[in-house]
Amino acid sequence: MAIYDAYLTKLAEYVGGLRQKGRRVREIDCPSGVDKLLEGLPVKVGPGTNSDVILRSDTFVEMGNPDVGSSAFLFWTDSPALIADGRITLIGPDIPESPGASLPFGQVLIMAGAGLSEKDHQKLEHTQFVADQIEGYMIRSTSQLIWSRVSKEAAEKGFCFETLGRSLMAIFKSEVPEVEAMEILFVTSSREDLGPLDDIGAQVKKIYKSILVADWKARGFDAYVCSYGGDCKTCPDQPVCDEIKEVVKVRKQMISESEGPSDS
Amino acid sequence: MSMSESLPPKKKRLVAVSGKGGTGKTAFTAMMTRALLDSSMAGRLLLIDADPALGLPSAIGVQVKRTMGQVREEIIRTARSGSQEEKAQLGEMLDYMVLEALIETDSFALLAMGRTETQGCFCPVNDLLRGAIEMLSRSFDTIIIDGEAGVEQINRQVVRHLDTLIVVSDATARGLQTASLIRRMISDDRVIRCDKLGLVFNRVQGNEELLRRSAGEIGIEVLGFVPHDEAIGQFDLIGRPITELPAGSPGLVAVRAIVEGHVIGQ
Repeated sequence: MAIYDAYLTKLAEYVGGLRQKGRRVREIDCPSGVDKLLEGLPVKVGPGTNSDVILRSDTFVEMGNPDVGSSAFLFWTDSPALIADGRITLIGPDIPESPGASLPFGQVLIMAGAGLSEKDHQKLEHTQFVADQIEGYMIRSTSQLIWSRVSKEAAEKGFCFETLGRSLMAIFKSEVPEVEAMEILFVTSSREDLGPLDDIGAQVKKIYKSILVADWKARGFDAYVCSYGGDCKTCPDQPVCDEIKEVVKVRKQMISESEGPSDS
Repeated sequence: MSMSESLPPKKKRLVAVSGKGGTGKTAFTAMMTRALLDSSMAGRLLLIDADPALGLPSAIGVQVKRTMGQVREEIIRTARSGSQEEKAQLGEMLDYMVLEALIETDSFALLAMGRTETQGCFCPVNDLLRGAIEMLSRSFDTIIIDGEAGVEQINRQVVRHLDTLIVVSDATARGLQTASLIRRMISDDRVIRCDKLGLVFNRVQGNEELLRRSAGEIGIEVLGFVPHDEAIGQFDLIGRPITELPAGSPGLVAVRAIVEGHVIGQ
């Protein structure tokens, strides 16, 4: 099923348009296998490798600060032949060229796999928040926004967009085995250049959301079922608390996993 | 001096400042900030303004764009809204919003708690925010919380355990009364866990022995006396950050001694 395939064309048109405007477009081709992707990377990749906040004073470059703009989304296709596996396209300056900068940040992840379907989309969405999986790279994300920092230490070791791209490809390919091929677009040229990208992202998101809602309805899921029965009637805000309790639980688990054995 | 240039302290320190309104808690916290930065022993320094009046940012010369109170509103709004997708993203959104609320300078960072508009207890929301603040705190070596008179709000919204609680009092019976109340909240009611409790007399003009005796009567160790300092009032009046006080200002000299003896010297 080619739900998002039209957006491959739109994305190609977007890149072509920026190329015509004279933007520097770099294409970096990386290997396909997870082992090859991780080979020779200057930083560690994997759970727990970056659990702390990278503070501004330790930051080499910041990307997607809310003041300068960001746009991030992903989509997938079940036709691997439609994408160039391992391709990173970079429009704008690379990380080593931008010491001390606060760059606008666009990130589009495109996954392909014959076995991919809508049911994998949610997992892909969660996998893109690799907050603690790349050493020296911090991510804070919310819907369609991405804000990240590369530490001075990581930059000194040679962290660049190829490092980030290869790490992301390795993480996705190992966490979602259905992903056979992957292509990434990074944009750091200007806030204006992010505008059309954000429009494409909004369209992708709209489709994803409608599929998700249809799926919930089919499963008869009602978020507010508790407020209609039992003791919950005594407190109109009980659903708020219930939702938050779940988030608390997940985060506590996340914190204890990232902390590992204490040395204090 | 940038945070990364400062010498790393031996261990993480968590200090809160409390006391009756109007005793100069915020000016004291600002002077403590300056003393810590001058000492180069603070490591990575995080200041948390837990007083809804938000006086600390101007006292240390920074501007607040977003408070944790606003983050709390956003969480409640999202949890109330019908969108499952937004709720699913709440966990990720939270860290984004907390970082947005963090003000970072080259030498320290500040988190302003601000006011909470939505009525209601929402204990899990406080749990969530406290968890996010505790997670953020892991990146810092020294954390100073400027609180209001009651310590229960520090417990509810910021942290549940402190190394040191500094109660600021002026040389009045009411100031000491509040200090006594705070001591009871710690030792009897155990509102917050705290390893050390100490009293700082602010705007002192003599009578140190009498004040020390009064503190002894309510059972709190005196950490120091900060003399009345005209310059602090003048800086406040013209809106100049207290952190820019001249190095030899009597108030700053006294606070420096308190910091060296009871905060970094622990």
